[in-house]
Amino acid sequence: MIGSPLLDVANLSVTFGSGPAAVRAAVGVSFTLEAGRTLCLVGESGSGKSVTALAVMGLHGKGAHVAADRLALAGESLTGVSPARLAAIRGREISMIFQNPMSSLNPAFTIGYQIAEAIRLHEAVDKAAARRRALDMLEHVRIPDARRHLDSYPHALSGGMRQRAMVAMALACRPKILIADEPTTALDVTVQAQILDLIETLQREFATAVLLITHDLGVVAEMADEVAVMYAGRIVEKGPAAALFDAPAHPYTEGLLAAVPDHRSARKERLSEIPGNVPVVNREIPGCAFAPRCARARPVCAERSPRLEAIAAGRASACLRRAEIEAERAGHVLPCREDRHA
Amino acid sequence: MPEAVAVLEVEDVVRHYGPPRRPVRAVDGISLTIRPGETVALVGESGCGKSTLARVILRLEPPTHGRIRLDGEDITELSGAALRDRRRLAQMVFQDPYASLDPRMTVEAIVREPLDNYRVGAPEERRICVAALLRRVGLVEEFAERFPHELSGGQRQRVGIARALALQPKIIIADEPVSALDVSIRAQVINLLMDIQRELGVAMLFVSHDIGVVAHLSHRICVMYLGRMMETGPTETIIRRPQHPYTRALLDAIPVSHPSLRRPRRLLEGTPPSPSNPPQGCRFHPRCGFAQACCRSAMPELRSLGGGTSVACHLAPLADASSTQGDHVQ
Repeated sequence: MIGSPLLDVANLSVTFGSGPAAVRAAVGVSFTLEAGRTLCLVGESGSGKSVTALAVMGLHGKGAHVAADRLALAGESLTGVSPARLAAIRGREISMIFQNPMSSLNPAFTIGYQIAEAIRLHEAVDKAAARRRALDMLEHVRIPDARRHLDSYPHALSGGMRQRAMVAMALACRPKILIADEPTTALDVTVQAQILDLIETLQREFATAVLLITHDLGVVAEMADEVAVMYAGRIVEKGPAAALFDAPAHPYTEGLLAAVPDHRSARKERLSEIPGNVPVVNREIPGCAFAPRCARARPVCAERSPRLEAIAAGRASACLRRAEIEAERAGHVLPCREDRHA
Repeated sequence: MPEAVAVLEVEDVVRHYGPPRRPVRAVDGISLTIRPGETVALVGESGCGKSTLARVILRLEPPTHGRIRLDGEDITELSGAALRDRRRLAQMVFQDPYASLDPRMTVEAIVREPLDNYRVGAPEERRICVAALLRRVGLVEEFAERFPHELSGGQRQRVGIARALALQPKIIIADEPVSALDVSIRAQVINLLMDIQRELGVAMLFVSHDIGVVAHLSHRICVMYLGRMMETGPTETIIRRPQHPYTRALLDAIPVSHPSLRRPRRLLEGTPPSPSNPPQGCRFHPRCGFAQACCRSAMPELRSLGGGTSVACHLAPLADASSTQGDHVQ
């Protein structure tokens, strides 16, 4: 690796409130992202994945306290920079799309106006040039009849088209990083496939790095180069996508993958369950947060907090039993992989 | 099993909204039959009319045309006490358990409410019945005194299922019951629904946009598009040998299960047109890669291809019955 990574996050913590009532929404989160690559942050509700993304963007609210050993974009620290500098970076260097496009699009202005404004905020171009660029972006995101939709208001577009308009606005200044928070969760599978394909195509064209936040392992399987799995505010496993799907190292990852119904197996068998509930992180959990739901837990898991430690090339797992699980894995091929050769 | 009286028969049901001259054709001639103990999935994109059909089946809305028979009795024209009496045979489970549970009622009161409404048993018997229902859906006794906001999403959905079971219905109609749940909780609720169905023999109509999930728990799949039935058949046949180009497109859109299975995406472009102005001919033709002249002029009728499969496509059976990815055939 030459020089610093495009995005470098080390030991990021996000805390809401203070004292004993403090909610530690993200704890000790570290990852890097390289140009043109896709990192998926995977987790269920309350895992801290969205909070992590907002903190990277500097979009966490006033109530949140963010601390990090390092939070840097292409070598430039994002912590402690002036609000003006941060605003300049946001939108131009990093931009973000959300599950609900209406959270980014203003219903009172036309699509074309909003994209042009986003461009003019960051670049010294006149109105006509910005409007031409906006049209170009709408064509890029394959909105049919783009010239007409330049003057459409958001409500006149379908959900999928709004998502495209939001992608157009996010990428208008050719940012180095696109953060996408559950961008397809509210969409039909057919439209989801269109949007994922669009993000991938534009990513190739602009060499954008993508930080994709999702709860959907299918989306991860479609998109990720690297994966970081979060649980109760911490990264519990990370590694290259194929290796992680082949042989999940952390029992939580293993449980998540096994809980997904596979439509190709027409067997009407019970799904593998993770018992219990997704934890609410309103108090410090002693030991491993997953231990109460973990089939592999030992008494020690309720006492000691596991640290994220390397297990293989580019892979890490936060599990006290990772060595035993690895040894067990070395012996046999997982049965769930048979469909790959079908 | 085929000899038994159908739990639900829907015959050419139409539900239009708005002016009769140019109506919104939400449901436009749907027929389906569900036998005891059978799970039938109704799938399609948002706006295809699947939720409207569920509401019409429960007579929460009147059909514009067609007949609905519940456990052998025609309920199309029923009203008042007679409808109320029949309706207990069909119970609903909703997508958002938070919105469908009264926040001011305890879990006990929520599950007991249908028993109270229909005056089933003495008060003490109802209490015992509620306790048994809660146990059945995997909630320990302590939950009886809690309120919905004190429960997790999965627990709320269990309460919704317990309430639906209270009157011992012949059929449960579940509208996207697991779409709002976390992955690890979704598996729990899918398993619970499968267990209940096996143990109680209750029939199920499972409405969902997610053909991947419904494939796991349904015996048969009905695919809807713009108010019309496009294809119906045994789940395994639909998954492995989909005949309608739309069914194929839905299957093609399911994300892969492993990064090594990635392939060039075959996208279904666009979104469904408005049901107030559906296309002439086959409603799917503007988005269909196989469409020919006949598809633009004549609406294909649902016709049997044998083996319990019916398809509404002029071109079926398609010569290339497998998808080019070979995913649907093993």
